[in-house]
Amino acid sequence: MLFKILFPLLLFSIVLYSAPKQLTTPKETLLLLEELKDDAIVFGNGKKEIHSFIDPKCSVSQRYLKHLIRKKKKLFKRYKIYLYLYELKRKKSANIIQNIFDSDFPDILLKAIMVDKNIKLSEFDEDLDDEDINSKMERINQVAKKIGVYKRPYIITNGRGK
Amino acid sequence: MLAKKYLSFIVRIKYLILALVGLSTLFFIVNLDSQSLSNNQSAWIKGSSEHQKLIDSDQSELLGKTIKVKIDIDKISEDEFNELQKIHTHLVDELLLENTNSIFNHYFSLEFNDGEDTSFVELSTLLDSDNSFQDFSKNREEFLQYFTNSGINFYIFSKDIIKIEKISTSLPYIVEDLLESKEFIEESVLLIGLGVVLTILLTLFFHSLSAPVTGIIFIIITSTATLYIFKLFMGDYTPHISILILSFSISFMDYLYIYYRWFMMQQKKNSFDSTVRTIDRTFLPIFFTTLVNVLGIGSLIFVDSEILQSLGLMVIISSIIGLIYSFTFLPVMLSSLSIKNPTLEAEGFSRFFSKKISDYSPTLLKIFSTITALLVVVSIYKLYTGLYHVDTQSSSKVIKLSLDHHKINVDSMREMARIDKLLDIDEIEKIESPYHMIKSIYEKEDSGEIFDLEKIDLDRYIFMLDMFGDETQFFNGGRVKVDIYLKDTKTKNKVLKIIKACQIETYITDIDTLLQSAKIETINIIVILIISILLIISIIIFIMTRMFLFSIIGMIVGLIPITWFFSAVTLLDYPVSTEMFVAMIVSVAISSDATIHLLHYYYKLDSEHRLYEENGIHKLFLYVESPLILGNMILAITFFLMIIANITSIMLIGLFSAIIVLLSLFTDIFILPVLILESRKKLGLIWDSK
Repeated sequence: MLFKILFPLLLFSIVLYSAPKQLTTPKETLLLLEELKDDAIVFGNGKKEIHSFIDPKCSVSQRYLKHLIRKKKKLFKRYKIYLYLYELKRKKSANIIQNIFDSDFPDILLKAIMVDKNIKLSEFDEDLDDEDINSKMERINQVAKKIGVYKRPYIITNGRGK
Repeated sequence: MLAKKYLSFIVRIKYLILALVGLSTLFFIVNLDSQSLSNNQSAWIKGSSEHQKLIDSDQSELLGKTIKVKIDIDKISEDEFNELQKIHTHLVDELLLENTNSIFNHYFSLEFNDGEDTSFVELSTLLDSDNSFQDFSKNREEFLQYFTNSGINFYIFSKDIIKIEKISTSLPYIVEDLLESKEFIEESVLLIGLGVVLTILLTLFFHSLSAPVTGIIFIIITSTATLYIFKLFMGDYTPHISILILSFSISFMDYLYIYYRWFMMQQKKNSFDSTVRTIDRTFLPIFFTTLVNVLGIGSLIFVDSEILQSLGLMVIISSIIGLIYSFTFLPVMLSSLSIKNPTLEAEGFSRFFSKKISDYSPTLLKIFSTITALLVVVSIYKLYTGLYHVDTQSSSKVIKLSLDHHKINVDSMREMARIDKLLDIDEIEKIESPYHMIKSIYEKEDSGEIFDLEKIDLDRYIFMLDMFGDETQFFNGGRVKVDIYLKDTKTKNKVLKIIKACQIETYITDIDTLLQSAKIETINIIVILIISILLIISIIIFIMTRMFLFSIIGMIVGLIPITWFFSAVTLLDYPVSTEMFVAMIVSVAISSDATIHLLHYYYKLDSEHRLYEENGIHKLFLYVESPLILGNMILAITFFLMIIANITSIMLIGLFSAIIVLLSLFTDIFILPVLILESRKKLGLIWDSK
């Protein structure tokens, strides 16, 4: 009898644990992202907003960006895509992120590093230790943690992310 | 008396009549360009409601071809796979057939990850894939709709005519056309062919050259006049083969009733008196059958289908022309001919049958009636439920629909979801639509979660479709498209019925499915047409006999051959085809002739108190059943010989018409007289001098 009650509960907890959930409501998420927009690299000027957390060294994020660039004619007209550079610890991409933020043309550099791959990453691996850039990265980290960004790329539409 | 006066009059002006008919026929022949008769099935589509809907919404139909490549899918090698890819590239890049559906441009979802903290679900095609052969091997269930028992299919659709001459590949393949028949026949060739067969058969039956000579002359003058007047109304419209054959049958039966009666009269009377008697005895039934054909089949001119309209018009013209020539030109010709020692096997033959009929078994009649009643129920059930499949010669497994939506949004997605739910049946192999692509991404992203359109953030998935997809894969003519793949073409009718019943504004865009839909519509029209003709026959019989019971008999006799034929076809799961419809109309036209002639003669005998005589039934057989049997046999043999034409459409019309004509003949010989006798018994009028 005890097994009959406990087993479904156990299964439910496993399912609940295994599927990471967004930590903020869509409304809260949108409010958080509104404050973070200035820290994003933006592609397109369409009406609909897409927010994505990516890591420049993550191959899957690179695939994502490749698709965006490939369909830029259509996508950038319909959407405004905010890209937030959020490090995956194991990828150790913090210095690359710093260098991208430091660039006058972060969007071009981001594309060169992630899609075209025509730039040696070692040239952008220097620790810049710039206060503005660090605080920008920190703001992104803070918001990402609050929302519960657990993977890259993490794409948010209408305040709902996956 | 009236007939005598009339014949005297037309004989007096016979040179005028002959000159008028001769000159007009010459004029018609000179001005009648012999055209290739159309046997293109797409003729059935024009004017059908689905086709009209498509045109009204500024969309055009997609022509189709299927390339069937023979290959063992289970043991496909990488080289063979690359050969298949070459075929796709050839079609799309070289022949610019962008609307090609194959395994290579079919979207399927793939998940990419680089550790637990990264993942991304993409929609991809084998063409875009870096490892297409591996992806194909791993995701075979995604491509089931392209597999066949013997290989793999490429479905090609285009608004323009698709020309595929040769594909350079080492794999064996066939290109299957949907609807584009290359088989044509000149109308003059067909008429000459029918004429030759008739000449031989008439000579054999009548042992006289006058029958084929008068018959061929009569058919030439009626056919040319009919075709010329038809083309005056229809312009450059190329008539369908079936239309000419129906017109031919009607003219021929008119001729045969008159010639046979005149021929038999030659035993006792001179040529003039034989013609007078023939006019007297045949005018009313031929007039009434003309009325039935004009009002019944002719009513097709009001149907919104080009081919049915032309069929109706052709029958109106040929019936009226047949009636006019039958009682002007034909009597003039016959009155100037005479037959020495006219002999026919009809005497002994009629005696044999009339004896059989007089001794009929009521038990057998009851069994036959019960089976027929059951078959009527089966036929009505099959028709009502749509449990039959329509043959379009080379049918496609694909149903291409477009929705009345120009965007992928909640409304269009809801409609796609409804279609998906309604078509969650065994007969469907797969459905391809933006809804299914989104569902596929969702299920890969949230493995285990049930897809619920109302709970998902649709904007996210529309963004993904925009990112991965190609507009041509989601839209057709600016409207959201849904491609349905069937396991078997036989189930197309059932699926179409479900789609039509779901009250969602959909457009059928592929020509094969449009044809299926048009044919289903045609079946419904023909069912109504047949019921109308039977009702008209009943009314006319009532006008002739003033007996309600005979009206019912007339209706039953017309219904029997069609019911037996249709139920046999559907019970054997044989595909219903347009050729069958034509055969059914031919049968109704001929059996209406038979019923009216027979009941008219019976009424005449009865009103003259001659049916009470011992040889009443024998006379019925000798004067009405015999030409009927002769005519039906000649038509059946002629139709059957049409199979040597080696043109699919003509072969099928010939074969089906021959079968139904023989069924009609069986009904007219064995059922109609028995029903007359049985009804007399019921009314207490059975003659007791037997």
